[in-house]
Amino acid sequence: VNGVVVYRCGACGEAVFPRLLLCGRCGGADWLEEETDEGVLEEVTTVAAADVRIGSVRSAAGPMLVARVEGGADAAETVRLRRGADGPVVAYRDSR
Amino acid sequence: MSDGPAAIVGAFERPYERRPADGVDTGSLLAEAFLGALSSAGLEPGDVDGLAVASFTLAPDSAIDLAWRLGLRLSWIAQSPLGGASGVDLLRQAVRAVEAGDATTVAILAGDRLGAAEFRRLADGYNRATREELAPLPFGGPNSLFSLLTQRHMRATGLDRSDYAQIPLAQRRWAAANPLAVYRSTLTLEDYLAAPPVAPPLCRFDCVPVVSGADALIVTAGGRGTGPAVRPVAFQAAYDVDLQQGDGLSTGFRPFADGPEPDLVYAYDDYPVMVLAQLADLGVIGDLERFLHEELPAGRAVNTSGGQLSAGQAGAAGGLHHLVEAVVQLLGRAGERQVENARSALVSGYGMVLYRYGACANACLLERA
Repeated sequence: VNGVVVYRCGACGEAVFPRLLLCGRCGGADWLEEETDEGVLEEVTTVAAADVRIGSVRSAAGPMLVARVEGGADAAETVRLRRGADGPVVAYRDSR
Repeated sequence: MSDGPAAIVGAFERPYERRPADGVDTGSLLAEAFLGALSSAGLEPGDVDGLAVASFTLAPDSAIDLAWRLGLRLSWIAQSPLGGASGVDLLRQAVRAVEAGDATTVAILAGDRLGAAEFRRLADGYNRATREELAPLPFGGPNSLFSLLTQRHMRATGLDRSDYAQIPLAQRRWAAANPLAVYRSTLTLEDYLAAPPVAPPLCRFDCVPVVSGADALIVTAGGRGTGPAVRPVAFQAAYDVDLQQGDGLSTGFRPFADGPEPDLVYAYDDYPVMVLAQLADLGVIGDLERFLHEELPAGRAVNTSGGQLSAGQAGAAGGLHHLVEAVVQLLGRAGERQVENARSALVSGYGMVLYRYGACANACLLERA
């Protein structure tokens, strides 16, 4: 399972998601791709109309991600991160 | 040549509707708002030489196509893509244009015809980040993002649902006296707490009803127009202040320079939490508990149209809605909901969720001339 790619500024080390054109900290334009596969679920809600759970995840690499939350993970829990087959960032309960 | 300080001399809201008739489109809504605002100012279409427009659904047309379709010959034109912040943005631009002499009379128009399908397209295609990273979740529109933001606000402030409820409850009391509001029936705390969840903790009454409609203002100088006028006296704006890396609870607003408390307060109300965030940063709210449980129940003049939460959100018209209500109040034309002796108003705009929360906040102070 692959994690989620975030972007780290080659000049100053700031990490962002999604990718930007220029680094907001130093103005750098060179981004290094970095996979992040873990984070902390800070808040989660259920979208009633779509029957899907959506959460904010502080990724281990730094950037905040908006993720689909699977496997019943709760706020404050450490979650794994992956790209779902249909594209979106997915956060799921770590059952290792 | 400039004709001196700019003033707002006309304001009009084309009634919002949940289900507009066939044949009503974004262009016809904007045209109705244009004529209504001109009429309120005692002016004719031929007096207008500046046009400012905000709309999500005008495409593929832009402001200049609208000018053509409205029969306007112009020396100045502007368009704002800033959604809930487009009204204050365009008012600031129009004031500068009139005071610089680039235009003598500017019509500011904002509106959309939004059905369920258009709204979904708008929500899922709002920007590149939304299209690529949020729509596929699927995130169900901005409600989920503002649920997450509200949870952060709850952690930071200790507020609970019955506290946030005070905003839609108070606004519904104003809406009862506004014939243009789409929801006017009494709303109780029990109704609120029992309402269907949308994205907990947000319920139906925390989310704006999607409607179709349009708003308009007329800005001019040199005493044009037949009635009293309202003068914009101060502006501020804060755009992308934290690059979406913060918690979304800080808007970037600062209190306006010391002066008397404005008689009327309007905060962009896409969600109750944002009313609190904006008014806290603007220095209007001292103590949250007192504001929610004493000042609002006592009838403090905040979002006196009922706001978007009761009157409805007609797309980009939401950015102009509170400005129109503020001007109508300051001109003494608010009927049953008229606030006595209102001479000054603070109006804020907010909007443009880039990825996690809105990136645009702007505000102005208005005074009766």
